[in-house]
Amino acid sequence: MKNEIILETKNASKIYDSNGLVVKAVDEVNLQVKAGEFLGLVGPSGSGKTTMLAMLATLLRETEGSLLIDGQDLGSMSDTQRTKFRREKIGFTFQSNNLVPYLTALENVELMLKLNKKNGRKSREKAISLLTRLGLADRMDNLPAQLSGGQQQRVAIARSLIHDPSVVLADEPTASLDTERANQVVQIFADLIHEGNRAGIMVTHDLRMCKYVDKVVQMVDGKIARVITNRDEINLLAGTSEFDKLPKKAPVKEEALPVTGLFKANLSPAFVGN
Amino acid sequence: MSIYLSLKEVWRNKGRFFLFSMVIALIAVLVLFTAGLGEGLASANKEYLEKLDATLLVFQEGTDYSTIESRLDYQKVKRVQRVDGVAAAGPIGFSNLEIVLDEGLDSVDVSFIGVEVGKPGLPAPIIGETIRSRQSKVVMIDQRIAETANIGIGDYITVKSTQGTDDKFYDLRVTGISDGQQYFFQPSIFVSLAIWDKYRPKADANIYSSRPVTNVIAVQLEDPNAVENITQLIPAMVKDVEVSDIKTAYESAPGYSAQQNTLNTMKAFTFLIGVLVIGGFFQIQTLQKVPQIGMLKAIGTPNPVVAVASILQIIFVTIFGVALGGLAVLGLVLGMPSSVPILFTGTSVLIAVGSLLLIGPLGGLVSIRVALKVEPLTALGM
Repeated sequence: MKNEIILETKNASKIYDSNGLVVKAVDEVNLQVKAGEFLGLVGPSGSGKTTMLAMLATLLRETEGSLLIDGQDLGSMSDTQRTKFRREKIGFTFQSNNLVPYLTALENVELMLKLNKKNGRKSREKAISLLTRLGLADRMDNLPAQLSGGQQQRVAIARSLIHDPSVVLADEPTASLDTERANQVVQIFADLIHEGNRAGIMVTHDLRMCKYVDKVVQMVDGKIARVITNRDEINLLAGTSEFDKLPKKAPVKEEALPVTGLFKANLSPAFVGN
Repeated sequence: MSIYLSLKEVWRNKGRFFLFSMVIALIAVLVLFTAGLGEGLASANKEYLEKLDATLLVFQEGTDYSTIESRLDYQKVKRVQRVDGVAAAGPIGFSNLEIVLDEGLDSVDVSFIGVEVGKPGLPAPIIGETIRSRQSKVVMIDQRIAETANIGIGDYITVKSTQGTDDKFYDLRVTGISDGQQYFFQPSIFVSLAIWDKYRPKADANIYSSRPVTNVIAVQLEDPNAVENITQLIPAMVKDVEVSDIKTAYESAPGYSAQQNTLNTMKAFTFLIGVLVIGGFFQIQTLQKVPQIGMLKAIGTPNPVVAVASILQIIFVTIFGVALGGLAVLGLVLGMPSSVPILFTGTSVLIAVGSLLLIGPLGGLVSIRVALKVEPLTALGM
């Protein structure tokens, strides 16, 4: 892992104002992801994870603060520039509807290269090589409907990495997979992020998947509640799949600092479990 | 990129798009048939007048340019001829009678048209000779009759004319065959005005009349640009007449406008149905594809690529459907009896096909708008 910071948010907030009802979906979030670092974004429903991901993916504009990827301020870009940036610098894996249904596995991966105007034999070979690496050598000419859920997610992972993006984002990539497939998919994802020295962020409800990430950021009520970097603490967290054991309330501001030291000591008994 | 996406989608969903092309093909058949029928019926009504070698027609005043109602004294022909700017004036008489064929064959109803030899009104023969003598019992026939009744140059035809209360039969020698010259939905035969006046069906009162009458006078101009001027000059110089150009004359034929308006309304509604059907189909398809479009946009597909891909898809399907419909119409027309008044002219087919190709993109506009409005955030379920 290099020390170069690829992704950084500075007091990033997203505020929705609907008929006078103000909701702070993301509240002054400060985040850094380095090259080759894989970050798990966890938290209960409505905690702001997906909004955060949408802002990092240039799909939503921040209301306050700033977001930087490769040193470029996302907020200063026009919509057209954001679309281009997304196409070139970001790889995306979604929870569902990941693939274009009328393109084969290979064509779905190549799509990302074609969008970036990289056609030709070399591009195809690169796509074939990546799919082969992901165990899909004999499935390249299959349409998504002919693939299992796990295979579809692996194709989506290939598509998110094929164009050498700086940042790879995944929104609940294991939501529709069984445990075995989920582990397989996230393991591959983590390996490729590490190998390619990319910054990766995975939003997940499944804490067990955290064992593959380098850092866990827990969000509650739009704020970062905890940042866990210690491997033992991460593994401990990954050992529980009971999500409701996470805190339900955002901590006061002083508590919203990166967690250091013994993980257990900083957590409420309810969070850790018995 | 747009072409790639749209072609892949159409190809990988061949069955669905083929079925929809069939719907467009059926609409195309309906539109082309209506257009052909409109053209065919119009032509059956006006073919002779439309091909007439004249610019203006002179009618009896107060007849609203109706060739049937108009009766002109033969003296008026000479007066019209003397008007400055008139190159030639030819009287034309219209009536109907039957050609009696051999036993066992049905007689053929025809428009019986009398023309002045050497004057405007007589079409040029495509086979044989024109009528040269005012008194010769010769006839020039429409090629449709020649084909239907197997009549050739030099053959004699017998026409049946009801004069007073008697059916009279007259023999005429075929001297020439003209191209299609339908008038009032019947093929035409041409004789000299003198023969026409003698053989035409008459009421009792007219049988012994010695004063030849004619229905209209066809006028050729010395200066083709002087239409308006001469149109006003003739009624000023010749009493009790009114003048129109050829188009006004056939549009004034009884039922012509009503018939064409009906067919045009049918065409308009068929187009409207086409637009709605195509619009509905692509709208539903786009709504079903919202998550997929959202995902495409989320991974960085620009909006114009999505829009152009949608348009191209609609265009491909429409072109294929219209081509299928065109082929179906071609097959149907080839297997259809010649009595069905369907006529495809270059212009009518071009307009119909052009309009059909437009209804696809027109119908798909709403779906393209929907596709453009899809937010990439839908890919995240937001």
